[in-house]
Amino acid sequence: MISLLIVEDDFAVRDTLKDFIEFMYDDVVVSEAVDGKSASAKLDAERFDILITDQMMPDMKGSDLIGLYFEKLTTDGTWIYVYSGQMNEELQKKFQDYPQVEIIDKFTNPTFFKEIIDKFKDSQSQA
Amino acid sequence: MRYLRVVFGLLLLITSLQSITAQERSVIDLRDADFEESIELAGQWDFYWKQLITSSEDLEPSKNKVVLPHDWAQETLDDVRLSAEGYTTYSVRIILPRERPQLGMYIPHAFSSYKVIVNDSLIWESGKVGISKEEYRGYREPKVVSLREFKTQTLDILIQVANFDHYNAGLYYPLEVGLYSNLARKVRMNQGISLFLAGGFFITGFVLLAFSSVYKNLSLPIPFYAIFSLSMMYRMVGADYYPLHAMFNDLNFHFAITMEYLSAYSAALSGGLFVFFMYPKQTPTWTKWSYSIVGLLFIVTTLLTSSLFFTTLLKFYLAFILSYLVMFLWIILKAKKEKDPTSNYLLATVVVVFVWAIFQTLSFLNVTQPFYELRVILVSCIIILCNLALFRTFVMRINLVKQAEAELEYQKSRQTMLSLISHEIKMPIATLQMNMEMLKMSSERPEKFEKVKDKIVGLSLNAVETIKRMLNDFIYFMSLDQSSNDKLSFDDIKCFISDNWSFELIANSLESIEKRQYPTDKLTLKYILNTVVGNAEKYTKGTDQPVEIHLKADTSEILIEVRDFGIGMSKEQLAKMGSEQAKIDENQEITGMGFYLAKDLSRRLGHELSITSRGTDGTSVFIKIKRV
Repeated sequence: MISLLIVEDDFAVRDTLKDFIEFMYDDVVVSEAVDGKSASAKLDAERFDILITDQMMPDMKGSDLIGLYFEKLTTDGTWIYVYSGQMNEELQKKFQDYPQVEIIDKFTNPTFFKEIIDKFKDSQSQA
Repeated sequence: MRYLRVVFGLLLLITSLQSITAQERSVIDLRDADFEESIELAGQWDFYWKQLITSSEDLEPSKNKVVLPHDWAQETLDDVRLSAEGYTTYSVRIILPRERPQLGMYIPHAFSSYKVIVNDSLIWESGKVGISKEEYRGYREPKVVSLREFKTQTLDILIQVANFDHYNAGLYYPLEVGLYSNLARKVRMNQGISLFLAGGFFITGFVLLAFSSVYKNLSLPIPFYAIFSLSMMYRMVGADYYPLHAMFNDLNFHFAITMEYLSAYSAALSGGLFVFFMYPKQTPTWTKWSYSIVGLLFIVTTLLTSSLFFTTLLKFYLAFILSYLVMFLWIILKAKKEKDPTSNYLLATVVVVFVWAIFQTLSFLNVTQPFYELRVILVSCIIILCNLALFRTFVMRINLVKQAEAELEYQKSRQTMLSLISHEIKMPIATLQMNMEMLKMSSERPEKFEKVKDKIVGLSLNAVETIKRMLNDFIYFMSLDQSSNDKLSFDDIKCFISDNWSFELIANSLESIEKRQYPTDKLTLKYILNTVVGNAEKYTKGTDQPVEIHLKADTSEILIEVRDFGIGMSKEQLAKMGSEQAKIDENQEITGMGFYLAKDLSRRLGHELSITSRGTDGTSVFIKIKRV
């Protein structure tokens, strides 16, 4: 089973994305976190294969969350994705020295989330 | 034969008399003068070239007679043109009335040093007269010397003059004899006026330099005008009546003369550049460049060459400026015709500058009287008109800039709207896209689809509704005039609300203000209230008290309150409302944006939109419509 954590404060986005992924895959378990605090609790408690986080959250920035858990995430081999609708350039700069972190445009193409999982699965099967 | 002897003898007598007349000293007879008005000592003077005579006693009349005012640089003696460099003595005998008031003699200046000796007494030396450049020291300051001490009816006047610095030389400007007190008062007053005008130019120049540092977008014309003013300030103190020299009479003469000429060039150059940069569209490029290059050439020449040379050039520059003043007039008239912000004051200023420059040139060339009083009036007019012109023109330009800023703000607001829409619309589109993907896969996963199909339909409908509303907002926002065109009374607004919304309306006002008019735009106000009321409805559950609209008015404003009794909002939520990034909670992204637009539209109408939480009792949104 692939464990995926979505960190997104917007209920509609989170709910739709969870439904979409769970509809498409039987072997993906989607966990949700509504903000940085609940994401931290989940990251402390569990290991995730994929982390997809929004950059703009009420209590914490997605980049700060990644910064806090970067060592654990890289040790765990978690694929890290961060998105933000309006600040992609700023994010690109912030993570230019971190090839492990990929920046994606928020919902320009939602099937991209499907591609992430397919890519992850391919890498697992090759391994 | 006897008759022939008589004729011959008479001829000899006439010839000898002519010879005696030719060798007589020059005399100016003022015995009939009453000295109510000062009298110019124009006329014939004895001229002793290359002689510095100190005593009139036994002084032989000069065979060289000249007429004052006199420029020896234009003089020819024995078929030889005199050089401007040199020294001489002018001599005349003045015969005064036996009974006379206390007299004085006014001497403007005599390029560049002179000494006045009356009845063999030295009464004034300006600079130091000498026979070489090393011995001599130039100085310029108008002076009134007293003749009160001389009680004789005849005054033998010797004026030694030496010049090694200026193109013109000698008693170039007319000397005057008159009442000492009148002449002294005239000099003092004119020096005072010069200082006063200099103060006007100084303040203008100084203030404008500060002004230009604030309004960067107007920076080019303003500093040029400031430099023009400061240059004119120097002209006022360092030329004509030379009050600066009177205050600092040990001022280095070369520095003073250089500054006198530099200030003339810089005033003309910066004044011209002021016009060119004020009206760049109307200024032909060649005009600006040729004017600047010529002006700079004169400045550089003044700085790098001897005063004897650079003083020869001013008359050419004055002619050049007079021709360009016509060009300035043409540029300003063209700007006016093309409806560029310009002021009639500026046109008047250029006309006055033109007239002033003509008189200045004529005075400099000694073609006419100095017309100092007239020039003072003209310069005063220039200061006043220039400041009025600047004020008017810059107010016009600042208004234009403000209009441009308002337009920019409007465009920015549209851009923000566009950006918001393009960002926020992604979510419902993505929802639709994900739902479509699930629909496509529905045959492969019927069980899963069965579980989510109702949710998919609901979310899709919501997404479509959201997109429709966003597009509506967008079209409305982009097409709206957004200005207060309607005038509504309290009753009008009351009817307007009760006609459009079915909530309970509680209205309170004083009778006296019910007829007063409040500016708004009904269509925009409807949009704003729709958004606010829509939000209030969303926060109201079935069990909550229904939304109320309260209407209050006082002498200065009308207050519309949309009051809900829902779950209320936190401080963080309140702080985010009305911002571009508004996101409240689930399903609230579009509402947040709607509120942002409502707030922006309110601002454009001159209304104030604010939101207050009443804790657990709900939320109130206020729209304040001010009376003009």
